[in-house]
Amino acid sequence: MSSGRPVRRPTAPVLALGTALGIGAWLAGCAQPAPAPEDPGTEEDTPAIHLVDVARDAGLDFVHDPGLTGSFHIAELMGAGAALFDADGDGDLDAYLVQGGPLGEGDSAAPKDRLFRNDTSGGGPIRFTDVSAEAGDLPADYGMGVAAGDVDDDGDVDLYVTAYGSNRLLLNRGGGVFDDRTDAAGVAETRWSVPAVFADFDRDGRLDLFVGNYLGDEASHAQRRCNSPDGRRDYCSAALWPGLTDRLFRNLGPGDDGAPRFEDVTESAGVTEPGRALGAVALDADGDGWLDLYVANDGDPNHLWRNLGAGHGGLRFEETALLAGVAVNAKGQAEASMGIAVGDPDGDGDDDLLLTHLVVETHTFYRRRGPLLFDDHTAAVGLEAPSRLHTGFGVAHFDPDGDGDLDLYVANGAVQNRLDLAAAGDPFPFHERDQVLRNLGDGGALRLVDVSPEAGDALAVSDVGRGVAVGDVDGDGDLDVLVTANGGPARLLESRGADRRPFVGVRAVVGSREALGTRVELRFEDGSSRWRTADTGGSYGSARDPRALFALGPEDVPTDLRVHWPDGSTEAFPAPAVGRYAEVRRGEGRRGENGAAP
Amino acid sequence: MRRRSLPVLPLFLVLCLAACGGPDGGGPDGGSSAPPGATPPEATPKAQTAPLPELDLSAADPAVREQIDRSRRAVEDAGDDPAAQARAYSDLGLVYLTYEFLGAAGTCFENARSLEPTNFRWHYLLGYLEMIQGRLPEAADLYGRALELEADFLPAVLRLGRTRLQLSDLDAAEARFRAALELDPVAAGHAGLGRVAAARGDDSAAVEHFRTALDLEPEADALHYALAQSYRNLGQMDRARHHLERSGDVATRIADPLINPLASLAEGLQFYLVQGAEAMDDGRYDGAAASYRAALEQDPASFEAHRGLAVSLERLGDLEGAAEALDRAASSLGEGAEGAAGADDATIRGQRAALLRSRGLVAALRGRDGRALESYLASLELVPEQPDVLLRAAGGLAKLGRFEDAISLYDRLESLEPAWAPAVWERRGTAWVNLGRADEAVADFDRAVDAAPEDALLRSRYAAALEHLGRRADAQRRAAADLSAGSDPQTRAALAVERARGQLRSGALEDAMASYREALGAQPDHLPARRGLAQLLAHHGRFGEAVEHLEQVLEASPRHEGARRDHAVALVLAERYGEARLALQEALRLFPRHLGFALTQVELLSTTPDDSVRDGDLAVRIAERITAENDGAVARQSLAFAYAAAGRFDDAKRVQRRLLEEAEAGGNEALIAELRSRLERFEAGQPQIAATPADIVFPLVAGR
Repeated sequence: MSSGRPVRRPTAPVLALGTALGIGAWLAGCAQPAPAPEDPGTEEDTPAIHLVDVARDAGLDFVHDPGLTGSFHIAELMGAGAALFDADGDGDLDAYLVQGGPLGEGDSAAPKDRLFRNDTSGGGPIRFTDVSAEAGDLPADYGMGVAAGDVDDDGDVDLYVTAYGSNRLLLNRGGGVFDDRTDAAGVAETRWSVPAVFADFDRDGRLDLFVGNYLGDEASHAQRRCNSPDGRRDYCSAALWPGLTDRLFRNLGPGDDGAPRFEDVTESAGVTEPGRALGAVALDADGDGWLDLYVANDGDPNHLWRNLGAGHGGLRFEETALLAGVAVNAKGQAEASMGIAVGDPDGDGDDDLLLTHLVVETHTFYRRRGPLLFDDHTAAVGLEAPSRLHTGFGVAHFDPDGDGDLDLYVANGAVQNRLDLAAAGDPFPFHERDQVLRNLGDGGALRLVDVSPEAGDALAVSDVGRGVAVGDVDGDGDLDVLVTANGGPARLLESRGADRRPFVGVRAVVGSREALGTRVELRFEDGSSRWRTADTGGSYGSARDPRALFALGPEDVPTDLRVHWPDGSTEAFPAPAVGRYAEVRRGEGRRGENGAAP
Repeated sequence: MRRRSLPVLPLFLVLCLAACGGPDGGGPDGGSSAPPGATPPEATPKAQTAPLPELDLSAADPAVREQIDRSRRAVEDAGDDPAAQARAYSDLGLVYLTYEFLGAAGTCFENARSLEPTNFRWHYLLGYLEMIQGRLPEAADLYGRALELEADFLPAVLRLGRTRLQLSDLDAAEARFRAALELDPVAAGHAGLGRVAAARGDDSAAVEHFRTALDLEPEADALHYALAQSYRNLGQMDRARHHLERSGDVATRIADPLINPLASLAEGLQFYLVQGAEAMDDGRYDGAAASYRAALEQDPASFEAHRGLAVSLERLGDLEGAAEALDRAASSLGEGAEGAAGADDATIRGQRAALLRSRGLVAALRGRDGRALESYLASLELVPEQPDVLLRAAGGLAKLGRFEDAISLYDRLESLEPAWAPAVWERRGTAWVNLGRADEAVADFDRAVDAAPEDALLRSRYAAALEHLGRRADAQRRAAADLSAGSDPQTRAALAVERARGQLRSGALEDAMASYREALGAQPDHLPARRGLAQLLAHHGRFGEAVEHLEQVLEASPRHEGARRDHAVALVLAERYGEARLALQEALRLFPRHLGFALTQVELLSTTPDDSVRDGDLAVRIAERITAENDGAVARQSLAFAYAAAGRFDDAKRVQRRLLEEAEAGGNEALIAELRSRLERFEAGQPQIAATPADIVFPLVAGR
């Protein structure tokens, strides 16, 4: 925890009678209709969570193509992610969808990734327009994930798209038109990558790039033949292949042509331990003001690369996950880690880690107790039961009930036959329902409860969920959810439960770009505070809205902001106006001595 | 991701089965027509039981279909006795559970409970089913009901404790774990109390419980992680690190007569393949070999089974068996059930490439470098982009002095796999050294050292390379830098061992021995140095000293397989046959499926000149057991020796003749002559007696 001040614990929401009955009835096995949207303007109690899939009406017509050939290629079930980011610089969030297509190179008919421009006008319904044709030469690789960040400091958000094949650095030359500058920038990677993270690890003001790699021995990916226990053909376990070393690229700044140049510092930085990386995120796990790196590995212990900081000749990391308590679960078992959610759901002022895992394993909540010290609190927060049923991938915190604490969205989808589905004749028995876990914490005891059946018809859909990117797409002060499905349509879940709730939004900027990794502390009149992290990383192969968003209750009176920049400095700003997004720039706030909090 | 045992039923099906009285008897549309391959519906459902679900098993293994049909018929044939019917339903439910048809299993257990509601077993099985699907309150309730009927059923007590712990109901969990310990002081009970204490933040108490659990069940190495976390929280970081280094993923056992038999219910080719793969992942190579053999009983032409068997045998040290299995895999490629399913050309090509790679690995382990290289190159012809094969093939070429070819492969690897570049630079630099190309060598070594500036051994090798290239001044400058860098004992020892290995390669055995001694002077517990010294001593005929050093290695590392075999061989060479027999017995106790140790024991018992040690009958028993599973030539030769030692010369001659015929077909004249002389000896009624076993499997590396 970075502050000695008391932190604000969100007001304990009252469990509405309808919700309680809903849970009880659901456990008893009877489907419940989605509750009607409540009138947010008149309800005194906590608003319901209500998510509505508006993708079709909004013109977001994207269907992922896994390129199934019947060969049960291990890569077929793993894609793909999505990004919500401001591609055209108009202040709202556009959508980038990563595509699959036939496996193998040289197929000119392979479908490309797609870019959708957000054309929502103030207060109107969400509208997107497919602008892929005008966006430059978007990748037609077998895509996996995407990271978003302004790597050339020109004020436009760039993308790094990972793939089963060749990754691409897409430089945004303005207005959402992209150039592939992978080779010139020196960030080519042809091994199988899924997560990528932009962060300024060496605090030189430029975004560096981490790329997580998954499985090696590529020649055999299509050749292993595996079966379910009853003998039917199935996808193989990733455990049959070795993990790979990841890559860390240092941003050297612009080259002669103004485009950025990177240097591969993987070896010299010591990031050499191989693993099967599926998720990654930058965070300051030891509180020393240098961004560390957390990597979720599938079936291998996770990695927590501690940034050793300035005293070690620039970029240098050491692996500390085991001792920190985030490599394996409380039972000492390495789990099939997929997605990562970073946030402060227990409201104690520091960022915890929540990882999604394979069916029968649980999703795991690592609660931070201090610098480089985490404990597995999965059972204590109620995650054991709801998560054992599912294979989770993309995951993100959001606050759809607007009660001020962080709830959770999890995209689920199996990676091997669900045999009861298969035995019932289902031709593609991998689909599952996503979940919304509501934070019913009270007095510091975080409690996550699965409220999916009451969260809207959108949660009744069963698909092979993969990517999750949250963002305030319609600018109404709550986070909507872009969800991708392997072999299915992308869905955009508009959050309507907390509409018109007051909020404070913060865009943290350094130079001309988003200051990724910034922690924003909103302080209140009663001396408490609430924290959000402004970042795009985490989840599964996806990039989220980088702005910090705080829903406010009727008794919440913000007094000021403390912005903890990723370079270790802290500045104070006046409380932003309620109901809009404010921009805070590094260097424009009030500082105490030596850059410490004033 | 790896399939975990017993995943779950989709939510909507689970709910329907649990709350609505069972499945609707059809597919998703609820229709009544059975899908292709479906098992037949029960003709007349019992009045108090739900009808059994119809499953689409058309894609399932025929053996699995047959097993399920068999178990369903047993339900129909169970008669009118409710207890017998309940048992039959339960047996069928367990079969369904084995194949992860959880909904069907639930129906069966529910029926069993309806038929015999006072039998705790059915409540317990239903509780287990709920538990694995994450419905923890329901599981706890059912375990509780089972315990009302059978309070002393320890697995239910422990599982209820665990379920309460998962529900974060710490007081109830503690009560159950304490109740379990009153029934039986098992590790699982103490481990549970440890987790309760840890969840409460009482790490001191947690440590006590975890330590007790570990004392009771040392193989449950997951407890080390729990201990490490508690020590960490107590600020005892050294202890935390100590236990982290020992942590694994073996949990405490629950001896469960109702659930544990699940592991033996599964049948079918694919099950055994999966079981074999899981055993390989867990490092249980003997179990893997058994699974792959079982798979071959299902389909003798299974490529995957042959290849899996080969890999598991290689890990067990049975290189000959591995090579034979690879040969069978090659001939079965495309013929087995998997191949018949229709693999395309690319798939077959990839499988052949993987097979050739495996053959290369096994050949290299057998010391057949030429064959290994041939296999690697053939594999690369099929699939060129295999980094590890490129590296091995380049190494093989360099070993044969084909440095330019090796460099060509290193170049390919460097461009294919940039992350491997540091490994390439050093090896390619060495190849340049051998070609006398100093500038290229220095360039590569410089890059390698820049990439790993703290690698003292690399710097040492660089210095040696410079010396070889005649750049003595540069070499001395580097050596001086190394000396200052290597001021700690571990680094000095490592440098000395590296130097010893270089001296061995150049034949300077005395210098190597001195270097090993220097390493041990710096770091007495440097096991590779001590073993290396022992091997050199053995080479010089100083077997007694070799044995002493090897015994020190084994004292520090009892499961050091290499030292075990050196020790046994050194004892034989020292003509301490009785001790050698005991050493091999100990080795086999530690490595019960190790073919090499077993064959050496057979040959010692058969051929030793020490009458008090020779035991032909025992040798025959062991050799026959080995050859029942492994009919390789070395195993059969050992059997022939054993027969002769037991006076069963007709059997010995029969086996020896077959070996001779096979050798004659191969055309190796020296081998043919040796086998013929052995046959003549048996024909004369003489056993094979030798000071050292004739086909001793493990020669000392440097000694013989």
